Amino acid sequence: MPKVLACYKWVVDGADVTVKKDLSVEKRFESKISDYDRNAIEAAVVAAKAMGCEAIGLTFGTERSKLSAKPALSRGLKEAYWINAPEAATADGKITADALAAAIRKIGDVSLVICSDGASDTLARQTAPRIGALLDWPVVTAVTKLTIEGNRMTATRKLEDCLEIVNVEFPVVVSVLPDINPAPLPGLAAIMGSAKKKTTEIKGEELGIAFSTNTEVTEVKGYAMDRKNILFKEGEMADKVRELANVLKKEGVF
Amino acid sequence: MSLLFNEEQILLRNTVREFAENEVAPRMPEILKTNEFPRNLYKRAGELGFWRLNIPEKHGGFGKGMVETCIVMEELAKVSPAMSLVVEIGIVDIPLLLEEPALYKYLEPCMSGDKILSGAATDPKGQSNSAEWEPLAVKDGNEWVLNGTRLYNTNNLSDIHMTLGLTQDREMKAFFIEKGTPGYDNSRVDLKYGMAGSGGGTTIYKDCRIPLEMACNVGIGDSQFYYRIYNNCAAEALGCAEGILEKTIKFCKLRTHDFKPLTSLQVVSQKLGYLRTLVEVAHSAVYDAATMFDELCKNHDPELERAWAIKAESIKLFVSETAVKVATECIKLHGGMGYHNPELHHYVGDAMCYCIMDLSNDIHWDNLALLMGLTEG
Repeated sequence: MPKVLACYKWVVDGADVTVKKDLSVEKRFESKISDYDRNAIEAAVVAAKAMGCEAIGLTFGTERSKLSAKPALSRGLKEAYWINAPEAATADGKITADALAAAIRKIGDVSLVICSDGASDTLARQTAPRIGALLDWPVVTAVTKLTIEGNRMTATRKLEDCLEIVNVEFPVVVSVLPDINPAPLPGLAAIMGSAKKKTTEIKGEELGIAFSTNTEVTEVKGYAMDRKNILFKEGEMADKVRELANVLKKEGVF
Repeated sequence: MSLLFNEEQILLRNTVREFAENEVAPRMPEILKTNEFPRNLYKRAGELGFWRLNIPEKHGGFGKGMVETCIVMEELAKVSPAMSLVVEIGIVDIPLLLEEPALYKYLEPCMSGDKILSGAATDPKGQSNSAEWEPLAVKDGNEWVLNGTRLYNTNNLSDIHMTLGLTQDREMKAFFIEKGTPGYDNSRVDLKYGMAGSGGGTTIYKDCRIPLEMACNVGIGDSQFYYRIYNNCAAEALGCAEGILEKTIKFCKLRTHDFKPLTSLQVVSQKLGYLRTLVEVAHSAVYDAATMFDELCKNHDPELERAWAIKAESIKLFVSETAVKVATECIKLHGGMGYHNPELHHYVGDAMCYCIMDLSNDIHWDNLALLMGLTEG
């Protein structure tokens, strides 16, 4: 039976990141499924229901990303695959897509791959197009609506100034925008049920790919909003307001 | 993050947290203004399965223990102590529906949130000391006839009401009354110091007749029933303290004094550190007691039960007093911006509730002395 596969990423929770004075970024313990990937998982669950098949999940990460399985499964996936590779910590878009595409081939019988438009940590937006290229499947990006019709699907793409309707035959790789669904919160029944679902580990070395890249992330810096700390002391209230307006104009606020 | 929790518990915590932040927090201004809890939030809590948490799996629940219950209580209380309280009433009282076959019909509607269950356990005479209570129910043929009053109820605008009361034989029972039953009046909602929206008020029973099978036993000696409530209460107080502290830390980072954040002032950062210490200790205490209770359920040991009883009494005391301390200090740090903002200062009134609810802290000190063998009952 064909499968619908959702790719998702286990990222550091933005709420658990601190930008220090020197703009260096301190990451702590908490991780989560990348925000938009929740929409991708929900889209896969809905599409699988329409196709009468199973929705499964696939992630590429380090040892820690094993923790993503239960949160992903609680969102309605039947099974979760986890590519365990230490190289994931420094992987760029190419390595990530290489690993995911190799795993999709290994899992087999996948008709539809759904990714989110971008991960909430890097927002590189490369995964879906690269996976499509590697599998030699059509790619439909920026999807906000997906309708299944037999062995084809119709997707609505949200472009800068228009909507584009695309009809395409499976297999296909899709990237979805958050508008596609509200990604409902899993109930406690789904959470408890996730423990009974299957999680399969795929070791990085099993994929037969080279984890080498020409890209090196040299530094990650946060950005901070500084206050101008300007105090308007001189003159009457009207003068102070006038002075404030002048400063705002200089800053390009209006 | 506590390394104490397993994967499932972390997922549960994150889910309840997300629900509270995304679905409850936006409703808080309305709840605080109207003193009413939106019915659809009850329904949503039911959809998510909060009231199935500690119901055995064979009855449609999840069969989880005290640790999971405390997680739900804590996370809800961070945003809405009142919602945590109303959810707790269901978590504590819905299992009573399993005690009597005639009550099974309410189980699924209550777990799903289609029907709201209220709880009452304070008699005007004797208050929490049930030994002083007058009988509430008298048997008449196939019916119980209830006459009396219960004060300070939670959820009293409910579909099904549970009240603890004594029979004429001084047997403690839980009586269940459907909305609309003649002689049952639960229309009074108090404007309390805190816990807006929890619907607490006075209930009057005047020749209120219910079938005999609408009552079940609650042994007055069933200490676990009561101590469980203390553990829940401590988890709620913990969440309340954490909720206002998180808001205060954010505020102190943003609010400036002489162009510098308040946190750059040593007096402020030290105070926040002190309050965080109190919260961390409270967190450890709550989950230590909860873990101990779950162990007790698996392996009943009288010595362990006695140790847990002392712990349950102690944490209810310590964490509720901590919540008041933390909430009060946090509002002071907010200054006028806290005192004039109901979305912040409700935590003070809510925290005070934990010092009074279930049993007032003064009674807990007394009970604790008794459990320690310092006094005689």
